[in-house]
Amino acid sequence: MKNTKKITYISLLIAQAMILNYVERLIPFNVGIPGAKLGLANIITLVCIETLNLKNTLIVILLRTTLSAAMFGNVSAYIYSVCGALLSFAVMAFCIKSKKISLITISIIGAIFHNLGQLSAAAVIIENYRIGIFLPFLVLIAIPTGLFVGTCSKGLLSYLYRTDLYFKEK
Amino acid sequence: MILLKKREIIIILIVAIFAAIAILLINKESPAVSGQYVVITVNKELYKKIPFDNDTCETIVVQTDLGSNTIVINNNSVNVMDADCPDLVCVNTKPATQTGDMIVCLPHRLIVEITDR
Repeated sequence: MKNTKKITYISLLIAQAMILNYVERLIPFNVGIPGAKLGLANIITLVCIETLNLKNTLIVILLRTTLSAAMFGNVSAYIYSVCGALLSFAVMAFCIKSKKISLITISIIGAIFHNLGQLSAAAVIIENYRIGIFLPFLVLIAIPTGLFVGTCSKGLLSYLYRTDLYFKEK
Repeated sequence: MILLKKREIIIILIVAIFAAIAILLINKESPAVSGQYVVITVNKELYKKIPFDNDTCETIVVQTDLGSNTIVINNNSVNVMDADCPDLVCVNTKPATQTGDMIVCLPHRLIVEITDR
């Protein structure tokens, strides 16, 4: 029974992340800097990283990026977003282990490294390393968006803990 | 519910200040030099190189397998006016006017930049 609950919980998170990814596309947030976005799907990554172990979090991340790309994205955007998501996950997983950093700061760090990973992948693919000049802009945008996403996840988790709908692995 | 510790706020502010300084350095007006070019690169290959000065006036439609972008050069600036990419980042980027400015369309692997070489 416990396993069924876990699988259901993981699939729910993936579905929610995909919907957030879709909703994000409907929100006009275009500042003319490649890679800048709200990152609403990171709310789900943060919930995963708080409640699930690292292996299952990685499964959620890989499946949500792949399925989102298959449904609403294109191939080159998928490569960028996977690189960003994986780098951001690696750094956030490291931060959550230390247990001293609050979830909102982890969210901001994740947003910054998502942009870094995405931009590095883009630089390698188009073989132009000068697009690194966009990095300071992306870092500056990542702070407010990371703050917003982190606050949302914190609120979501506090409601989730009051229900029995979540699955705590740790 | 404590959201952020004081120490974390300070670190975030320091990062923000560094990013802001870097942006100011990047945006610093570079002296106008003669012999500028507009270089359009698509998928790692040079697509077109056009001398760029006060009276360059040209509209270029870049049509590749990945999609199309319309680049307009006039009034001393380079702008992507139209594209069929999903995110339209390139259209929303502010026009490039000086050496080093660039406009990127990642889905179409297109780079438009102003160089002095």
